Amino acid sequence: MRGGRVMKQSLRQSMAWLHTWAGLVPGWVLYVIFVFGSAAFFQHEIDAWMRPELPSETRVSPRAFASADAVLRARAAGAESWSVSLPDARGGSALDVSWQMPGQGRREATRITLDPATGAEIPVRETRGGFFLYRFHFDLHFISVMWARYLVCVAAMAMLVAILSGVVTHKKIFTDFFMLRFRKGQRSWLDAHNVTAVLALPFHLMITYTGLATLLFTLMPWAISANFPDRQAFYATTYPQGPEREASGEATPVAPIGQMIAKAQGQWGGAMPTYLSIENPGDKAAMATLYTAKSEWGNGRSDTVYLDATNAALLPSTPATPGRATATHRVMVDLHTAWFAGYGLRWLYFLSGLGGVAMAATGLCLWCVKRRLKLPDPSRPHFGFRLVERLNIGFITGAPIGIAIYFLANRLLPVAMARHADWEINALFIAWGGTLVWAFLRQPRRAWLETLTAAATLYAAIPLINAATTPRGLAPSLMAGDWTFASFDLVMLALAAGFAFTGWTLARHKPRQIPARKRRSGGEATA
Amino acid sequence: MIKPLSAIFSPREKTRHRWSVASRTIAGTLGAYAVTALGTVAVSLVLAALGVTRSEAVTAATLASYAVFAVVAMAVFHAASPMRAWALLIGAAVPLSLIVWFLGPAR
Repeated sequence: MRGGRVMKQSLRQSMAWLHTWAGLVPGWVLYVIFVFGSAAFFQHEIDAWMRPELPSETRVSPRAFASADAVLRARAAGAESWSVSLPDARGGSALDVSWQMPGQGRREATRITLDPATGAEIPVRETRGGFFLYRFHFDLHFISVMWARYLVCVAAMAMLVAILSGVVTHKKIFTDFFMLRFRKGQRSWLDAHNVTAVLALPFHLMITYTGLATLLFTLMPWAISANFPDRQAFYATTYPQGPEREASGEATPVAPIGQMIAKAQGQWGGAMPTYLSIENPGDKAAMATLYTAKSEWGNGRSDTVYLDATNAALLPSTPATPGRATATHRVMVDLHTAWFAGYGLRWLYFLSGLGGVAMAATGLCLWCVKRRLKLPDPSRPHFGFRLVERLNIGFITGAPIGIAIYFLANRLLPVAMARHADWEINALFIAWGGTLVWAFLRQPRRAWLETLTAAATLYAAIPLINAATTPRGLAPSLMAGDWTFASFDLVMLALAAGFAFTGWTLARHKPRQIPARKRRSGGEATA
Repeated sequence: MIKPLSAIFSPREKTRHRWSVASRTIAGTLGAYAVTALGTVAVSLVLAALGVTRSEAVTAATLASYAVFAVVAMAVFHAASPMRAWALLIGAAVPLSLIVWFLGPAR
C-alpha cells in the first residue's frame, strides 16, 4: 500500500464519510422508526381517541366483574382459555373479555368490551388504535415480524454508528449549538440538523441503545448459542417460570373473577391487575395468571401471581431474583418504553422523539442540498441523487400523511364495516404509497409543496372531522376538561401548522439561479 | 482516504477507488459484525469461567456488544487503508478465536 493510496486522514474526515453513509442508507427506516415510535409514547391516548365510544371512567366496579363472570359462564363454556383485560388508567381501553375455543388461533378469539362502571356490553368500533403505531415501529407491516426486526435492528446499529461518528464530525456542534442561521442555504440545513440532533443527543443515544436492548438477542444470539443448548434453555434459567398444570378432565366451576383479583391485590399491596388469563376454565386443574402494571424499576415478571382458578388459592412460583446484568437489561428496556413517565416526562419523551424525526429528516435533506450545487448538470441529476431526493419526499411527508389518513379513516369508514381495523391500516399504506408514487412523478420542488400542503390540510381536517362525526369535538372536550381528546386535536392542529409553515417557507424560497448550461445530449452525468 | 468519487478523474483510479470503498464497507459492516459476535461469545465464556452465572454472562456480554460493534466499525472506517482495516479485524479475531476454542462451547 504505497503511493497515493495511503493518506493520513483526520478522524473528522473519516467519520464524516461514515456519518454520511451510515446515516443515509438506513435513514428512511430510521425516520419511520422515529415517527411511529414517538407516536407510541402516547399509544393509550391515541387508543382513547380512536375508540370514542369508550367512557372516560377507567375504574372497574364489582358489578362489571360480576358481569364479566356472567358473560364467560354463559358464552365461553368449553373454551381453552378465558382472559380479562382491565382498562388502562391512561384510557383507550375498557374491560375486555375474550375467549379462545379449542383449535382457534389467538387472532380468532372472540372479544367483547364491557363498560367498566356498569358492566354492560358496549359496541366499540374495531380498530388497532395506537397499538398498531407502536407495533409498526419495530414489527413493520406486510413483511414477517422476524425479518422486520432484523431490518430494524440493523438500522438501529447503523444509527448508533451514525450518532457516534456524527459527534466527531460536527465537532463544533456544542459551540455552534446557539447558531441557527436562517436562509443561508446549506448552512441553515446543517444548523437545523445540529440543533435537532444536539438538543436531544443524550435522548437519541439512550433511545437507540435501549432500543437495541429491547431486541437484545435478535442480531446477537451468539453468546446464547455458545453457552446454552438452545434459546429455551437460556430463557428458562433467566426468567422465572410459572407453574405448569395439565387439564384433569374433571369438571369444577371457576371462582369469581372479583375473588381472584382480591387475592392478587393482597399480594401486591392493593395494586390492581392489568390482565388475567385462565387456562382450562371449568376443569379441576384450571389455573389463573394475573399480571400487574410495572411499578418498580427493572422488575420483570416477578410480580405475576398464579392461582388455582377453582378456589383462588395461591399456587407456589419461584420468585424472580434477577442478577445485575439481567436487572441492567430490564432497566434499559424500561427507559425505552417509558412506562414510568408521568405526563410531564411523557411530553418530554415525545418532543425528544420529534427532535429525532427532525434530525433524520434534515439529515436526509442535507445529503441532497450538499450535492446539488456540485452536480455536473443540476437540471439532470444522476440516478442516485434523483432516487434519494424522491425517497426523501415519499418518506418525510408520506409517513405523516399515512398516519393522518389512518386517523381520518377511523372516523370516516362506516363503523359497522367488516374488517374496519384492517381497512384503517390499508388506508394508511395506500396514502403513503400514493405519496411515494407522486414524489417520483412530479418535479421535486412541486412534489414537496404539494405533499406538504396535503399533510397540512389532512392534519387540520382531523379535528374538524372528529367534531362532525362524534360528540367529542375540540370545543366540547375543552369545556368538559377532557384533556386526552383536547390534546389530541390540538396536537393535530400543531402538526398542521408545522407542515403549513414548512410549505410556506419553501414556497417563498427562491432557489439560487443556476447558470444555464448546454444540455448534454443523452450523456449521463456520473458521480 | 475516502475521497468523493467526483474528485477522481482517471478511469483506472476510479475503478481502484470503487474496490477500495467496497472492501472497506464490507470490513466495516460484515467484518465488524463477525468480530463483535466472536468477541461477545469470548467475553461470555470468560465471564462464565470466572464464576459468573451463565445467563448473566450471556446478558452482560450481549448488552455491551452493540457499543463494541460501533467502536470496531468506526476503527475500520478510520483505518488508513482497507488492507489495514482487514488486518485490524483479523488481528482481533485470532486471539478471540483462541479464547473461544479453549473455553469451548459448553454443551
